[in-house]
Amino acid sequence: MSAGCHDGGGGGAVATAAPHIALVGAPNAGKTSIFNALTGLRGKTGNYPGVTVSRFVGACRVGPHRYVIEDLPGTYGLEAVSPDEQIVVDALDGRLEGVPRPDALLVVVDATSLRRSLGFVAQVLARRLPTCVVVTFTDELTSRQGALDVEALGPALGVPVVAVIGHRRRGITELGDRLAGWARWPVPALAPPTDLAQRDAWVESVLAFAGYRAAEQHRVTRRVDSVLLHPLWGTVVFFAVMVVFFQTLFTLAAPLQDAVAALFSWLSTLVAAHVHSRWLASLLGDALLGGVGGVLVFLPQIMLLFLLLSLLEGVGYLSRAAFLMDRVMARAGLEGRAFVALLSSFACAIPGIMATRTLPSARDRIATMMAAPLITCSARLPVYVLLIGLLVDRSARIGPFGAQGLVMFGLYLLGAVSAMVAAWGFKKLGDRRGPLVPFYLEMPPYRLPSPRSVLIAVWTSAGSFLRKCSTIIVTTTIALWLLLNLPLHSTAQMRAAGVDTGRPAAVSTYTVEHSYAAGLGRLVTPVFEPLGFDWRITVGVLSAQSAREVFVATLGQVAAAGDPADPAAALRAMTYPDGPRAGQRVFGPPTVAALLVYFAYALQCMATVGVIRRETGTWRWPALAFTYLTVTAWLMAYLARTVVSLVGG
Amino acid sequence: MIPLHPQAYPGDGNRLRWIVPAGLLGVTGPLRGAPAALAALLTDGTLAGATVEPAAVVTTLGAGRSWAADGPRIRDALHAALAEPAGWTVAADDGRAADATLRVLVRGLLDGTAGQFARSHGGGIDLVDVRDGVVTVRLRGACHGCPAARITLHQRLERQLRRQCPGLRAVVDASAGAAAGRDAP
Repeated sequence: MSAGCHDGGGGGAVATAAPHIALVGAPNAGKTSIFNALTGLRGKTGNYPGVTVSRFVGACRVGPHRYVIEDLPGTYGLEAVSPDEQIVVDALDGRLEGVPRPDALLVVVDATSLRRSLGFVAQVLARRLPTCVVVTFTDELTSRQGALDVEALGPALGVPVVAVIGHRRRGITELGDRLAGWARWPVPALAPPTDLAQRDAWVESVLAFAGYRAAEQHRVTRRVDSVLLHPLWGTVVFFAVMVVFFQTLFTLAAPLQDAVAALFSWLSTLVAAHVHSRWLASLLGDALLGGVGGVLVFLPQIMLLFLLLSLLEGVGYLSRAAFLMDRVMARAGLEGRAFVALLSSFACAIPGIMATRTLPSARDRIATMMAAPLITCSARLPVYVLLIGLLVDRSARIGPFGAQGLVMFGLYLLGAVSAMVAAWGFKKLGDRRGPLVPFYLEMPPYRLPSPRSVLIAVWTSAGSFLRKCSTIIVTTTIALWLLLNLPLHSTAQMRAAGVDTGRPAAVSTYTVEHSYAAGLGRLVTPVFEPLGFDWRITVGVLSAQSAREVFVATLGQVAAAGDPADPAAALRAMTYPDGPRAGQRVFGPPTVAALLVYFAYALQCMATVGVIRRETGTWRWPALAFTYLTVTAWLMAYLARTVVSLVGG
Repeated sequence: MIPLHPQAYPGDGNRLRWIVPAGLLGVTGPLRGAPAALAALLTDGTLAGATVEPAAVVTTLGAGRSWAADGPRIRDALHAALAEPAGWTVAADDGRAADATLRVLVRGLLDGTAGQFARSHGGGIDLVDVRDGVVTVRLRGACHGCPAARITLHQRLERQLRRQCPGLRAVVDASAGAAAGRDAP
């Protein structure tokens, strides 16, 4: 095969002409690396119609042939107990609108769990589509004293079998060559049995024929697990790992962040020096560089978060964490699968809420969905970093750890604990106890993650963050900029109000103070007054309702208007303009603490609301989630402010 | 339940080779008498006949039957019959039947994976003879004289063959005039 696999772009023409080949298999069987190897990383991500299960489609070219490869969601069976499995079943039967029935199937099976996987193969072969079985991790099977004769497996199953070691790209060429003959792949004369006892006998017989010897428990894995899965030591290690995780997030990202910030302040000086129209300069300098730039500063931290997450996942630690947390989850009345969903919420609540599809119990799904927005998602990261910077000095240390990292760790812990409590509450609120469904948590042996897949994870997350910045955040920022700079004031008006029109800072301060945004902020301020939020913070909090990062952009704009050269200092020095606290610092510890806690609880993400609506099929649950989270946010913020005021004097 | 799975019969779509644990039935040869469940299918014409091999049962479909429609019933019957190994009786076997089985299996492998491998390396393997459990082949093209050919014969042909035919005694390369795998277990 010429290694020429290219992306299909829009793929309309390709999709109709090229055969449609679907990848099916259990989660972690190596499906995605095969998909990436075949399509050359140029897969297109979308959604299946009507549901939010991600859909991956890519084009592959082998010599003169072209194929459309579809990576179906990972499943352990085709019995369709969870919505994810339903997608696979519907896709195989051609019942999904806009998704053609596949012409042929590639079933990916992990050689180290072949016994379980063959049950799945039996179900797939019963579909009577041209099928090729792709065996992965044969290298690992051998290194763990297992054995499998891949050549005997083909005749035993009655279909072509190819061994592929995805991360080393071994076998990919052979697989590509195999694809060419897809129309001639034999379909067994007699499908494997559907009766469970007969299917077990079939699996047993096929395994014996292929000389299968199960892999021994990985020796390193077993030793390491005896510590990491230990009820006491495992928990200690888990918290240690988490502390180090957040320390790294701060210390490693800081220099990169400074570099990005320096870039934007250099750009601001360029704008100030070369753009002479006051309006354009303000739009470019305050709104785009001050606002969007202020959010982009957090790109290194977002990338680092995903780098660390995908490293932990790739090594196999995340499933151990899930196992450890299963006990804790049981206290909340949830199963370990719910933890996996909550775990993905650390990246973003949306995949977390979508991951609840693996939960067969509807009540567990609701409870998990109501809890997921409380988990600290990556959108909160910029807000937290900014506010923690105002609260704690960068050089402050507690013991060997930086204080900033510890506060961050505390906020993540707060989110996690609150999520547990919420899940427990919603589980209690629900009706009677449903049937207990067995929970299957795969404990993969420790593996060195392939740099490729780690880089892809980082790249994808950076891409979606940049997309968010360039769309929703830019739009909201410009809208806010307009609100902050309108109505127009004539020089005469300002002179009459006693403004020194010769000083640009005085002019912009006056403009902002008398803008529509200020009017709106002041209107809503009574609600947030007890939390210590002035109208500027209120505008920020309101604007963050579209996406949390906008808060940073708003404060960036307000601060840039005050002192374009050093916005951070401007924020620090900001005082209450009027009211009972007039003259005091706005961003004192009580207000910052209240803000942090408010952001920890509030559901400020319209995308999450939308996903809950789609997943539950009614507006009832998103409305409830929004209300309870906003009310809790206000109450907890008030509590935080009171406590910090008392402690801090 | 006895482990059981069907495999394609090389060159004959009307037959299936059901792999069973080696030595389970204790006899080999054309089936004469079988436990009730299987005998019923032979009587009603679902099956035209069956042959017992050392590690398999080969069934032949009756006229107008199909694996898709009748296969599941045949599987049920085999499962029931395999639970009573004592109920299986076969016609006398003079050893030629075993060689015939071996011949079919070798052809299957040479048309399939083993042959493909040789062809992809610019060579080929021809079947010369099967007699008394000894398979004689001739290597040609690039395979002839290739030091790796012995490994190919041993790994790809002999090992796969022995899986299905425990009665296999050796695979011999006629071109070298020496046994390729007499030292094999």
